[in-house]
Order: sequence, then C-alpha cells, then structure tokens
Amino acid sequence: MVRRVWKEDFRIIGYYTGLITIGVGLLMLVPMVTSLVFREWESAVDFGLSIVLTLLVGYVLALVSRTKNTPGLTHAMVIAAGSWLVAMVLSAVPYVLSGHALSLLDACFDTMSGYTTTGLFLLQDLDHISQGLNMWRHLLTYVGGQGIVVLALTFLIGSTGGAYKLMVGEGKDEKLVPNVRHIAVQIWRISLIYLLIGTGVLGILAIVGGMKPQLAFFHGAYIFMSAWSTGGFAPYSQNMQYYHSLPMETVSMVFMVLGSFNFALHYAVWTGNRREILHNVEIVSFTITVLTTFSLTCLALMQRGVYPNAVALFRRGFFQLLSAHTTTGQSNIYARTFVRDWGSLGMLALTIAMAIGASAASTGGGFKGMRMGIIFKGIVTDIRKLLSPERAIVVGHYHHIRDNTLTDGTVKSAAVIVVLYVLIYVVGAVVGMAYGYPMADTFFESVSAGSNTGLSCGVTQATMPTLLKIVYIVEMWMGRLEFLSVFTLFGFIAASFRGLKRQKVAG
Amino acid sequence: MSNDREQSRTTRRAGLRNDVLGITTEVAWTGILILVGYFVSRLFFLGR
Repeated sequence: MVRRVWKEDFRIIGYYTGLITIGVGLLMLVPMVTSLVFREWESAVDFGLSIVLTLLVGYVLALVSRTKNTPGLTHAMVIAAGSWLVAMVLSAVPYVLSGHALSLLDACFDTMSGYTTTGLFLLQDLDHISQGLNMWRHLLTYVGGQGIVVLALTFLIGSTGGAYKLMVGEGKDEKLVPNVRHIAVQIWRISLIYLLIGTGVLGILAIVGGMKPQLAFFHGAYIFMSAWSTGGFAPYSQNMQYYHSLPMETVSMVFMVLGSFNFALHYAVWTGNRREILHNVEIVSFTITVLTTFSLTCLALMQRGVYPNAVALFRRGFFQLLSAHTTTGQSNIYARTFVRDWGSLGMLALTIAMAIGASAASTGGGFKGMRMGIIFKGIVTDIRKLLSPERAIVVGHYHHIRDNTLTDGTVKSAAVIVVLYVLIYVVGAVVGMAYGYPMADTFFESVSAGSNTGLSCGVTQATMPTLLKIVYIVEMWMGRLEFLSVFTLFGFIAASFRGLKRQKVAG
Repeated sequence: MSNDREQSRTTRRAGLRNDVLGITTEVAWTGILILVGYFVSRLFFLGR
C-alpha cells in the first residue's frame, strides 16, 4: 500500500530541491569567470543571466517551502531524481543563449548527458563554442560524476538527519565514514587531488604537443574531468583524435580506469588498506571482463585486418575498449569507423563492455562490476550446493572492503537491477529500430546512453527523431540514478494525483 | 600545547604519506592493466 502524500512532503522536497538548485546556480560562476578570463563578453553575459535565473528559482523554491523537518527515504529518493531534472533544465539555459543548441530539448539532452557522465552531444559547431561553455560542459560532467547531491551536501546542506538517504538516492550508497558530510568531503578530496595531478600532467603533455600554456592547462583540465568522471566530452568534435598524442591517450586511459573505481575502494587504498585493490570483487570482475571483451575486440579487428600492427591495435582497440568498459566514451576514432571497419563482432564486444560498465558508487554507469561479481558468485554457490551432500550448508562469500556473506537477497537485488538495465537498453533499441535504424547501430547507441558511456556510431545527431532524443534522455537519467529513485518519483507523483482526486470527491 | 601541535603535524604527515602511497598503488595497478592490454595486442600479431 502506498502512503498518503501530505503538504509537508512537498515542503521537504521543495526545500531541498531549492538548495540543490542554488548549488547549481553558484556552480555557474566558474564558467562565467572562465569567459571573463578569455574576454568572451557575450558568453559571460549568458552565464550572468543564467545565474540570476537559477538562483531566483532556487531561492523562491527554498523560501516558499521552508521547513525544519529532515527528509525520509521516500523524500530523499524524490529529491535526488527530481533535482536532476530541475538541474537539467536550468543548466541548459547557457546552451540555449549561446545559440549552439538548436532547441531547448537539444540543450537538455546535452546537460543530462553531462550530469549523467554520458558524453553524447547534439551541440552544433562544437569547435567554435566559447571557453566558458566548454568549461560548463566539462564541469557538469565533473560534478555529475561526484553527484549533485554530494556537492550540495558538502557545501550547502551539511549533516542533516536525512543526508545519508539523499546520497543513497543518488546511487552513492557507500558509508566510508560515519558522518555523512565527511563522506561527501572525502569523495571531493579524492576527486580534487586527482584533478590537480591530471590537469598538471595533461597540461604539460599538451604544451609538449605545441599548445599555448594557458590553453593547454584548460584542455588538461577538460580532458581530465572527462576521463575521471567517465564522461567522454572533449573540447573539439574530433574528441581525443584532435591531440594526435599517444601519451595523452595513455594518461587519459589511466584516469578513465581510476574514475571507474568505487569511492569506497579509493578510500580504503588511501587509508592504508592497499591490498584491497587485489582482492576487491569489483576489481577482479573488471579485470576479467576487460581482458575477455578486449580479446573479442582483437579477434574482430584481426579478422577484418583493420590495424597493421600491435601498437595500432592497442592504441585504437584497447583505448576504445577501456573507454567503453569504464563508460567514459572518449574516442580516438571517428563514429562511423565502428560500423564501417569494426564490424558486428567488434561492435558487439564494445556493447557488452558498455553494458557491464564500471564499479558501483563510482562516477561510471552500466550494470556495475559489483553486481556481475555477486551474480557470478551466486551461480557458483548454487552449483556448489547441487554438488554437495544434501545436509551440507554451503555459504558463498564476496570481498568488498571486508568479507561479506552472499545471501539470496543480495543476489536477487543485483539481478533485479541488471534486468532493469537490460530492459532500458532494449526499449531504446526498439524505438531506434522503429525509426528505421539498423539493429546493431541502435543497440550500440541505446546501451551507450543507458550505461552512461557516450560512444556513438552515428545515430545521435541533432536531426534524429524527437522521441528518440527523449528516450535517450530518460535512459541516461534512469541509468545514472539506478532506477529506484526514479520509480519512487513516479510513485510519488501518482500518489499525489490520487490524493488530489480523493480531495475533490470528498469536496 | 606544543605536544598537540607536534601530534597534529605527525598525523598530517602520516595522512599525506598514505595519500601518496594510495595514489601510487592505484596508478601502478592501472599501469599494469594497460601493459597487459598491450601484451594481449602483441599476442594477436605473433607469427605474422
């Protein structure tokens, strides 16, 4: 039975969504300052207007629904799912004002793609957008990777009673330390330290490659944010090909993999438990699936004779495979190369890698290594049960930070989420096929959107059907939040309407 | 007072050391994975 919705529920949801919206408005100061540094006055004005609008919406929402009550689990789920939608629309304003988005829907597609760390884009004339807008695109990815709610928790909300539930609603359900604000601070500390290292290393490599120092460090920051947040955006339409640099691609691969790690693993390794990296179920699962899918990729590419030597095969094949498996979406080949040169088997290998994805509570998407590991261990335990004497008690275990007992409930929860992912992948693919796209292409693109990867084989374009754009937006949103908070939002909306109807009948 | 200061400095230093070792471990592990990827690529060209 679904509980009744009260006015106070709306207040709590409105108040916290307002605070998160204020956070989004304040975040826009970064691209505005970038525009001012590069003397892009029009772009700075665009961001100024967007900041005013976003702060106004946030303040009004928080003021109208001001409350001292803290959110429960239902509120937290609705706030997490709802605030991502509000943030998507308000963050799209600078895109629309820049004139590089053909419509508000296209702009929303790009901002949802940014926040969910997907990397698909519909922006026009990407090579000539302002540095401010470029900073905004990459910042969305960076913040989205860590989580909008995590950001708000760190700087605005603090350790309120329902704070941890808000993080769970956003898919960051790892209790690194007892205090919620400290969890958020730890996530940001790890991300910011890597931001400094990544920007420095990639910036220097860009200078070595011939870029001017000021621009080189901005590009270093963009590429780092894109790789670490498993986002996949790049300042130019050619993505990583623009730099023609094997060292930059290699460094980017390192940050893609690091970004795909569970924050609990980072925290364990950084606090002295360094052997965790060898035993963690997600890392073991990730290593096995990376090597398996890469072998399949090599087989496909060798069959077709696409690359002439091992270095070329590694540079294109392994980069693309890691980009797919970590759900980053950076690319060092053209989109149509997948269809033209890689063939069905090559595309299938990448599709499987994208579908599996990164680690839980990381910046990445997909089924997650944790669930793959749990399901695999569940199957092994069931086989062991069948082979053991009837009286024997067989218990499975998996290692994540500590040894955990494998219960039927754990395996069931993991399997349910995997089935839901498969469902959205199939729905997206079917809609694509209904519009006449080939099956391999539309499955590739749908899995790319649903797993928040962002690799494209050419389906995603501004000219694609409106319904397909909406389906991909929903796929990205659901895939990032891992369904439960989105379903809770739908349930809450339905319960609200039912409550209104009941009031009318009573009246 | 100076004992407290000394203790906090020691804690900070230990924290920094842990951070550096943590980053080194993670980057080393990733480096090994990338190297394995390169060797798998070479494996497919053996005998060609």
